[in-house]
Amino acid sequence: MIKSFLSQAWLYQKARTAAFDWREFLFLDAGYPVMTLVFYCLLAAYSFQTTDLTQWVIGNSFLMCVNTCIFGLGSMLRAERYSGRLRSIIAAPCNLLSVVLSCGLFPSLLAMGAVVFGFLVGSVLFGVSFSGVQIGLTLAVIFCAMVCASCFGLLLSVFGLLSDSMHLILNMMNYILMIFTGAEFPVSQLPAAAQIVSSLLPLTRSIQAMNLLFGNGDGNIYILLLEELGMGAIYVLLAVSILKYAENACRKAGKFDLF
Amino acid sequence: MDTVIEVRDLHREYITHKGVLHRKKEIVEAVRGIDFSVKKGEIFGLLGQNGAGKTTTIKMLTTLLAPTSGACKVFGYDTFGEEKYIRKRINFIFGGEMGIYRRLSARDNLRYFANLYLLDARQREQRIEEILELVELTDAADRLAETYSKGMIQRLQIGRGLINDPEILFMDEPTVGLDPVGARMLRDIIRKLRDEGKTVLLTTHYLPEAEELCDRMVILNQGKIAARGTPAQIKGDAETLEDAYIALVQGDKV
Repeated sequence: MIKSFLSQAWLYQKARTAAFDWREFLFLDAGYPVMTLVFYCLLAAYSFQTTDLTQWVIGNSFLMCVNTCIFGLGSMLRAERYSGRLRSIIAAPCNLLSVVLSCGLFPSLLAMGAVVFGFLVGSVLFGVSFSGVQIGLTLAVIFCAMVCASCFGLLLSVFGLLSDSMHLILNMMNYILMIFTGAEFPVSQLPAAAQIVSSLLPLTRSIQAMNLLFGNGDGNIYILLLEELGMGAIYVLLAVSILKYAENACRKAGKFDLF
Repeated sequence: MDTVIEVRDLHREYITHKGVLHRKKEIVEAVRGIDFSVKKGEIFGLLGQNGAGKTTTIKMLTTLLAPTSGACKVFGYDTFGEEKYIRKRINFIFGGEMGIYRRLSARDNLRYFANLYLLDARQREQRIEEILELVELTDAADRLAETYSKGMIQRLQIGRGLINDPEILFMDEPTVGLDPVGARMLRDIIRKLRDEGKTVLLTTHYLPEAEELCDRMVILNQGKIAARGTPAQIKGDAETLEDAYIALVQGDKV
C-alpha cells in the first residue's frame, strides 16, 4: 500500500518535471517568488520606515510555497480533467483522496525547499540574522507550515470537481493568504472580523511561530505548531467529506471531461 | 450465458443555463429511453451518428455519468450508487490522444494506471510486459509518450484499458487515429479478448469493422434505438451494412 502510494507520488512528480529545464526553474520556480519577496520587503521598508525586515522576510518566505501548495495542488484535479485523465482516475477502484495526496507529496517537499531558499535569499539581501535561532525548531515550523498548506491545497483541489473557475478561486486565495496570514501585515493590526479569517487560514500560526523564534511577539511556539497541524487535519477531514459529494455532483452534471 | 450489462428505459439529459439576468434553462436529451442487454463473452456494437448518444451511454455504463432515469446495470449493480462493485472489473478506451501522461514513458504510464487499479508490484510489472508486447510498444516502452506518433499513443491508450485485465472492456471509437496495421492489431486484440471470455462493448463509425467484429449491435439515432440485432439481421436485404445504416438513420430524419 505504502509502496504503491510512493510509486504513484514519484510517477506524478516525474510527469510534472520530466522536461526539467534549469531556466524554467531559475526564472519561474525560484526567480518569480524571490522577486515577489524582494518587492514586498522593499515596500515594507518604505511604508514602515524600518530597516528590520525580519518579519517580512519570514512572511514572504512562507508565501513562496503558495505556488506549489496552493496553485499546484489546488489545480491538480482540474488539470487532470483538462488533459482527459480524470475519467481514468475516477473510474478506477482506488480512493480518489489517496490519488490527490500522492500527487501532493513531492510538491510539498519542494515547497519546504522553496521556503528555506527564501530565508537564505532574505538573509543575504536584507541582513536577517539567524544567529541564536534554533535551526531544528526552524525546520519544524517550516515542516508544519508545509503540511498545513498542502492540506489546504488538497481541500481546494476538491472544488476543481465542482467549478471550472479554479483560476479565479486560486488567485483569490493567493491574495487572501497574502492579506490575512500576517505575511505582509501584522495580524494584530487587522480588524477583529479579519482576525477570525486569519485564524482559519494555513500559515498564520507558522508565521507567528517563526516570528517568535526570531524574538518578535508573544506566544508558545509548540502550541502554535500543534494548532497548525490541527488545522491541516481539519482541512483533510473537510476534503474527505466534500469529495464524495463533489464526485457525485460531477457525475450528475456530466463534468468529468468538459474542457 | 449470463447477462452482464442491462439497460432499461435509460434517459440522460444535459441541463445548461444561459444568460445572467434572464437565466434560461436549456435541456438536451442525449439518450431517450433505450433498452438493451449484453451477455458475457459477446462483442456488442453501439452504432450511430455523432450526437446519437453512444458516448453518453458508454459514460453511464462506465460509472462516469449518472443516468437521469431508467436502469443502467453492470454485473447486476447500478452504475450510480453501486459503482464500487463494478469499477475494478471493467475498463474503457476512448479514442483520441488525450488521457495519458505525455511526459511519462509508456512503461511509466502503465505503472501509474496499474497503481490506480491497486495491482501489487510483481503483478503490475508482469502485466505491463504482457501489454507492451500485445500493443507492440516494447521497443519504445522507455521513451517519453510526447515523442510518440498518434497511432502509438492510441496503442498506449489500448494498453491502459487492458491494465486491470477487465471482464468488460468499453471502447469508444478505439480505431480513431490508428493506421490500417494498428486497426487490425486492435481487431485481433478484441477477438482475443472474446476468446478469453471477456465482453466488449464498442462504438465505431467504421461499419465494416462493426460487421466483422460484433455478435450483436444496436443503432442509435437521436438518442433512441433505430434498429437492433445481429449484423446480418440489420443488413436485411440491403447490399451492405452501410446501406442499411444510412437508410435507417436518414429514414428516421424523414
